[in-house]
Amino acid sequence: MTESSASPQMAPGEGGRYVYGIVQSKEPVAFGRSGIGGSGEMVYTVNYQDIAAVVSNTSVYIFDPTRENALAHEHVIETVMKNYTIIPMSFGTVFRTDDDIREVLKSIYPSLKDVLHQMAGKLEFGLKVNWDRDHIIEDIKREDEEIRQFHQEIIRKHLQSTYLARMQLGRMIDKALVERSVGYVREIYEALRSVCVASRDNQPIGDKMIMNAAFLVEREREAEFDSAVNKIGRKYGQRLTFKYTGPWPPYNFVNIRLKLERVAAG
Amino acid sequence: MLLIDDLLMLPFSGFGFILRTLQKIAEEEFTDDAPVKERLLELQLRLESGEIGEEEYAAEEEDIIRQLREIENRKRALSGAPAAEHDRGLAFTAGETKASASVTFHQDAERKA
Repeated sequence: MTESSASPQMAPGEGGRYVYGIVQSKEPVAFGRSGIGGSGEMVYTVNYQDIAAVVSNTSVYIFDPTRENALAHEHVIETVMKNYTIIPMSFGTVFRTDDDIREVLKSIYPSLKDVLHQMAGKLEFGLKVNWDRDHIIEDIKREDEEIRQFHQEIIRKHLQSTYLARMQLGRMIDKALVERSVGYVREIYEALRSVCVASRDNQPIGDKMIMNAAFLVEREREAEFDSAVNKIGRKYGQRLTFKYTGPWPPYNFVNIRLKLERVAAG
Repeated sequence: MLLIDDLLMLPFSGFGFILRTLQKIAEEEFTDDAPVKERLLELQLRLESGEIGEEEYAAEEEDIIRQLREIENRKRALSGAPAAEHDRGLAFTAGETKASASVTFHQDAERKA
């Protein structure tokens, strides 16, 4: 069920506050009418001393992680990122009132300041690497001496039980596949190690992906990082596809834990 | 039956422990949204790679979202949180609220095999 885009904007103070992230700012800031929900809500800040939550009003308290909503969330963060270091909030964080937000900012003020300080001037980039399993298997059959010979033997039917032999070949190939993917991943990390501040290895998605990583890079070294990625992309271009995204706010390097009361209506 | 023999042989007292463990596992599966979220991620990848079109994406997204809502409601029921339709946002309660922010900075030195 989606919010009708014809619904009017809320009166000031009404509804909940969708929180996109936290920035450093003594003054209130406005970021335009791009609030999530499709009704042109203003994105603005709720301040506490020199930090602020970036929010927009919302009459919806639960957000489905649809592409539309995710893009709206991302879009606001991208806009803010142009001029501020932002600690991103996870998708769908809605607070009851401005005061609740201020109380939380107050309660973890030192940690937030520390995170903002550590994240200043740093960007996150994502790197997903895919391979074509069939092509890699062809490589293995050609390049691995033991497997190549074994395969030849099966073809020539020298081995008595070809069914069992094929099973064994399958196991040998699986093992070689794991070794290859580990090898590729290690080399890619090595190539990027000196141009990044930190990295994080995430779970690959689907069966074509062999690497799903996030890198934290200093702004001044963005071009260097870029060219290191392109270099390794060219090196393995025949066998691997690289999907390089960013810059993102530091989703993978910052942790905000909120254990708060959920308020019910009535 | 072999299964019952195994159960009776366990060192922990009585069936209570077993039932509580089974219940916990069942609950965890019942409220585990990770596989459904993985489905959503895979679906997005397929759209991005051109494997599927917008329409097919939208249809399957709707189905996955419905499942996620279902799981969300189960979680809420189990933890005593208000149902989704009645939720009015996060609130700060002095003494009850636990919040923290930290940076996780690491160079993955060891690749997992």
